[in-house]
Amino acid sequence: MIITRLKLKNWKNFRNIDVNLMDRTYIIGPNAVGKSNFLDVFRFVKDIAKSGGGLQKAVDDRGGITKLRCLQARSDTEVSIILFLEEGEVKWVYELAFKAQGKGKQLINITKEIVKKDDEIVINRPDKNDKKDQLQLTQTHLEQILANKNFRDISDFFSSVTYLHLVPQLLKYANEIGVGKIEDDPFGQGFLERLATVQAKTRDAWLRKIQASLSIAVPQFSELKFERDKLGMPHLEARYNHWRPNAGWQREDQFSDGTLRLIGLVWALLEKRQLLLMEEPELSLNNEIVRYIPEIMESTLRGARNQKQVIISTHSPALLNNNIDGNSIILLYPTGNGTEARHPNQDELNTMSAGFSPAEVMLPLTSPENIDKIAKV
Amino acid sequence: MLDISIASEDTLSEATLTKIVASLEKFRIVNKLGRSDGCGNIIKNIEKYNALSRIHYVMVMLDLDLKPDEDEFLASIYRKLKRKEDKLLFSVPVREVESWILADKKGLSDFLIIAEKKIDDNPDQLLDPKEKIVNLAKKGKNHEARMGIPPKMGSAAKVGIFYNTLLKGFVNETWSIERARANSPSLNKTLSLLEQIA
Repeated sequence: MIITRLKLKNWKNFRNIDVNLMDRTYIIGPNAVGKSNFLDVFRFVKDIAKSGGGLQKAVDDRGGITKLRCLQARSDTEVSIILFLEEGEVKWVYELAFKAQGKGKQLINITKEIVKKDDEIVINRPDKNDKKDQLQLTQTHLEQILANKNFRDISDFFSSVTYLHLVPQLLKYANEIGVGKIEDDPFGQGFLERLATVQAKTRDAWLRKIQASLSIAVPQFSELKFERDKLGMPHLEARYNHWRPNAGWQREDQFSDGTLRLIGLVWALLEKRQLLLMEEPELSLNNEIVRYIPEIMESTLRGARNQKQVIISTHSPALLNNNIDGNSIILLYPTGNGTEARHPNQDELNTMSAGFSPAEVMLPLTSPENIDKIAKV
Repeated sequence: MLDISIASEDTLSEATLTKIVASLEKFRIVNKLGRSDGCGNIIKNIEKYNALSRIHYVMVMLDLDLKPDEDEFLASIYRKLKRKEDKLLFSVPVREVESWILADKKGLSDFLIIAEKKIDDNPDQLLDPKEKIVNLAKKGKNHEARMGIPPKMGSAAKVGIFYNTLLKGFVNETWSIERARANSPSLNKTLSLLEQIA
């Protein structure tokens, strides 16, 4: 299943946007324009759909409705998310709109929850039950196993959304930093435990794949393996061809940031999830490697049982200096009325058809107008 | 409005060419290309620019640098093309865009705070106009330019770290195309080329 289109109203920076999504989608834009907030929509529906999730908690975890709603939302304070999905011939639409109750505990009330399958309405809320018992409007049908049985497919799809933005320092200095892990581990703190839960045979096969990539990217690198220490804690160990031949194995806390990022990137692609969100995969990586990220994605995903959709936010010219389909790019740009989103226009697509890369055509548009002045501050 | 894309090798050239094209008030700039590619790559990828010029005008700006002859330089580029499109235009500063900047003597003397007579009359004939600007900035009374345009002592760089930003500011705010074209035949040639397009 893939998400083919997304409409947002009053979601974080976005007052009103309507964009198409492809099996690979690249999100570009200047800093603080809302690239992470864009990705957060998909994490949000996951947080509703996953077990132990739910709408109230998903909103709470984001600091409540006031943090989640667009600042530009004045008269109309409803937040609305519409997702269009496709699996083969089957088309789904999931629409959710909600706002705060405006009294008491400020619970979140659903103002609309609509599911359509091939244009036929599967659910359309509020319905008569909701009218009888208003409390029902505090829970989506998406989060309820009994209620979502006619659209379990999309509920399962949402639950499987993966976000990985591996922060090497969190992994390397886990003990020293000593902060609690965030639910779903978006920043890779618990990456090793994630590795540990995968069946040994699968894990070894995946590590062999990662090892093959690494030995190309890091020439002195020779071997990668999964180990548990005496206390049973999981570790990654790598061996390098070294000037000291018996230098031995190194643990993950000695890996370079780039090595860890590359391991995280390939691992996330290998996991059998349907929608993968990648935040700036270029970080810590040499441009020569970044250049190949689109190809690494294709070759790693090839033959995967679940055809995966990947949404990537990036600033990287090296990454976009590829033969990427111009239609798969979403440019976010700030306006007085919140962030707007658009695809390349006909002029820009024509320029790409003439042979220019998305990096050449689109990235210059993400540069703030007065960027020259930044050095004078 | 006529559609045009411009291509240049660095941000200072881009700012200068943008101002020139905009000054004619008949073009809509569709793309600003080239500089993310790095220098030298424009010529390598010239066929792409040629392909784009099937859609609309494309002006490619390439410094002559130390090459002896402009016609010969352009001929060497044309030879790389299967068939040069009519709308593919070339702008060739002699020897680099800095001579166009030097060509507005009044503007530059106001900016650097230096006597106008210290600035050369025929900047297209300078072998190293960049170095010229650096030396003028060193002598000028504009403190910011004196500190930012020349390289730091002992630096391996040819120009200072604020060079592009300061000169771009000058081009955008002060530089006069009309004053400059009178002193630079190569700038005048680019302008005439753009003026002829109807």
